[in-house]
Amino acid sequence: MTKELSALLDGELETHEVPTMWRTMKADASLRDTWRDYQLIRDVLRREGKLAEDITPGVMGRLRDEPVVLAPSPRRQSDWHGSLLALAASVTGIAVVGWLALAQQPSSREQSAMARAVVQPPPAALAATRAMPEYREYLLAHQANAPGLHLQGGAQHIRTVSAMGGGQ
Amino acid sequence: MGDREADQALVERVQAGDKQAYGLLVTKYQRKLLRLISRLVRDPAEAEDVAQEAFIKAYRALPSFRGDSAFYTWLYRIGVNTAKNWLVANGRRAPTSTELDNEDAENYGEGDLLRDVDTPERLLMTKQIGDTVNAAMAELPEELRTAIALREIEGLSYEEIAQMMDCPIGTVRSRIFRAREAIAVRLRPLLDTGPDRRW
Repeated sequence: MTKELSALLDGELETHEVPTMWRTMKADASLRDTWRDYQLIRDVLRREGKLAEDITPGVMGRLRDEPVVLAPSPRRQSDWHGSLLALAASVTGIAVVGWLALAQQPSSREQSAMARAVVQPPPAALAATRAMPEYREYLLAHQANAPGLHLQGGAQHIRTVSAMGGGQ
Repeated sequence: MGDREADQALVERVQAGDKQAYGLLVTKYQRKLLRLISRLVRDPAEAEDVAQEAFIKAYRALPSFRGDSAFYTWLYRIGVNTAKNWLVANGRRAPTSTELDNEDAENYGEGDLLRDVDTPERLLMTKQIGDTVNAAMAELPEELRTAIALREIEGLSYEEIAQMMDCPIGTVRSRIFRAREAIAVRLRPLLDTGPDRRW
């Protein structure tokens, strides 16, 4: 096991071997001593100084009185999993926005009926308009505001103005 | 798994409630941190207390550590702040961050060890440990000495060492392990491994 410990010290142990190594070290005090010895050798060779010190027992003694720290570990998901979730979220978002937009619009049948109702005044009204030349000029002047020119999306807000035969 | 990833794996074990995993991090970084703190707090015994305090503070703060930086970089900041607070609390002037940066606390000259105001016993022990490791290194077979020197002094990866020594990575791994064990065998009689020193 010390050979694996040596590789772990260098960050060269295979990823799948690491959890087993940590578990073994937790249970085996002599392996933790070896970890300390290898670290000391490293510190000597790298001239880290203060070689006579080992404050680990002191720190660990004080930690006995400390509450155990617990933090939610960030769940590491593989890249494809993350991408898939992002894609699903995007598609759902587009679908919701699209559905909301379509739900607010009248159906094509309703639209064409409304268009007919607005663009084509009833024959009686036409006749009345023809019959009242003083209104014809007014209606021609306001033709640009006639709702039949831009029905899309605003049909529910349409207010029409038309001349009634004999009306004020 | 690289060094940073190995540290992060240990941190996650601590965050999951494994206190002993924290001991492995303390063992790994204690001298580096103590060296840093000794530049701010000159008295060796006080520096040791401050280092212990920094490790305790880091433990308490670990739930907020998310691995955005390397563990030691994070620990380094806690160590500097703990030392500064200690200096202020004891009526001494804490160095500004600029002063600290100019001093470059990460770099420590070769003569610094000798300038330490340490007890004669500790200095002797430090010298004995250093001499023992160096003597054991000198007696290693050539291929073991080269392998561990490239790793520990030059900081090369196993792959780079394998290329330099023209051998498989498995051989490099084995040589470095054998070198460490040969040195550790010489070192162990000097070290206190009594039950009270275990954690």
